[in-house]
Amino acid sequence: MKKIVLLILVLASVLAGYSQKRAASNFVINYNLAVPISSDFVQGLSPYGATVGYNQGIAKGLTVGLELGWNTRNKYYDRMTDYTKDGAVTTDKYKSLFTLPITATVTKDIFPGRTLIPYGKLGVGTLYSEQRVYYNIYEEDNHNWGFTVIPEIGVRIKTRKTSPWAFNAGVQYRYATNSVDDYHINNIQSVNFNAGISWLLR
Amino acid sequence: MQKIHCGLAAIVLLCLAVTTSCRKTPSLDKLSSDFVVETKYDNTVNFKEFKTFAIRDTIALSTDNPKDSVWYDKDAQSIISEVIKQLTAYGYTRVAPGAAGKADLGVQLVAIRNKTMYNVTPGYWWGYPGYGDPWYWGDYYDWYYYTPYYYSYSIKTGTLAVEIVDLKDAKTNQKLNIVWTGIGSGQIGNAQAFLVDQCIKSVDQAFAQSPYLKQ
Repeated sequence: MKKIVLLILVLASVLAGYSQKRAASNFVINYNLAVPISSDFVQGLSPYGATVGYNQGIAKGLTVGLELGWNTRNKYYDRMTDYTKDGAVTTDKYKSLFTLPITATVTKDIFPGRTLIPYGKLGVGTLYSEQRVYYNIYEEDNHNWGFTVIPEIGVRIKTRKTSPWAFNAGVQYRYATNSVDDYHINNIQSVNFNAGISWLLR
Repeated sequence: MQKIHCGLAAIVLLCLAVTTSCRKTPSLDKLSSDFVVETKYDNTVNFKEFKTFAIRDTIALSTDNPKDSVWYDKDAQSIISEVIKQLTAYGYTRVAPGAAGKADLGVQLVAIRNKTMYNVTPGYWWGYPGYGDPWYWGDYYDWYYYTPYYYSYSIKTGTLAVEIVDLKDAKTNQKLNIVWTGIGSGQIGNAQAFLVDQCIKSVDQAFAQSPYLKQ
C-alpha cells in the first residue's frame, strides 16, 4: 500500500512540475456528507466529513491533483444478539467506521471560463479505514488499507467570471477494496455529497 | 478584496476542521452496563443425545485476592440454581455427580473478578483529543506539563463462565470435551447485588441464545 501512496505522490509531483507554467492551479475544500450503500457494518448518514485538494492545470479546463478526504460514521445499536456459525454475542454497542481516501485526481471542466462550470473528476488511490466497536467497557479496533476509485460530478459557481474563488457542489461514488472478514465487510461503498469552495491560485 | 477572499477561505477551513475533525469518536453515552453475553459451542455435537446433567454446587473463583478459590454463599447458589432451572427447562434431568456414567453432561461455573489499577501522572493526557497543549495557555511553546506526584484509578470487571462438559462420550473420546460455554462479562462496581443480578441475567441470556441445546 505504501507503494500506491508513493506512486500517487510521484505522479502528482511530476504532473505538477511539468505543468507548472502552463495553467492555473486551485485549492479546494469541501464539507462531505456520506451515505453508505454497501457495508452492513454501519448504516445511516455520516455528517462528519471533509475533503481538501490541490489541482494543477495542465491544459485549459483540465487539471490533475491530489485529494485527501475523511469521514466518520458512528451509530448506536440497541442490545441485540449476533449469531455466528459456532455461537452468539449479545450486547448493545456503538459502531464507528472511519474512512480516509488519498487520491490522485483528474478534473475536466466542461465550460471553463464561465461563471457556472460543470465538471467531472476521477480519483484513484488508496483508502485507509478503521472499524471500531464499543460495548460495555470494551473496544474492538481494526484498520486496513484498500484500493479506491472515486468518480465525481459537480459544478463550480463563480459570482463573476474573473473571481478567483467559487462555490462547489458535487456528488461522488466511492468504492474501496477494504475488507474485514470478522465484520463481513467485502468492500466499502458510499455516495458522498460535497459542498465547499475552491480558490484559484494564479 | 483579495484579503477578504483569503480570510473567507481561512474561516471556512477552520470551521470545517473544527466541526468534522479527522476522526469523530462516538459519545458512548447510551452504552448500558449490562454484561456482554457470549456463547460458543461445538457445532459437531448433537445435544439431543444428552439427557442428564450433573452440576458442581460451588463456583470456582479467581480474584485479586490469592486466597479466593471458591464462591459458595447464597449468591453463588442463586446463580447455580438459575443454571439448573434453564437446563431443566430445556429438557435435561439433573442427576447427582460422581456416579460414573450417570450424567451425560457435567456443568461447572467459573467467576473472575479483576481490578485493574492505573497510576497516572497528571499531564499524562497531553496529546489526547481535547486536552490542552501547553501553548493553549499562552506563549509556552517549548514547555511541558510536569508534576512530582501521581494519582490512581481502577476499573473492576467481572466475568461468569458456565461450561458444559461431555461426560457421555468421555471414555470413548478419552477426553472431556467442553461442548458449550456461556460467558457474561463487563464492568462491575462494588455492589454485590449488581454483580449477582448481572450473572443471573447472563445465564438466562446465554441459554436464550442457544436454542440448539433444547431436547
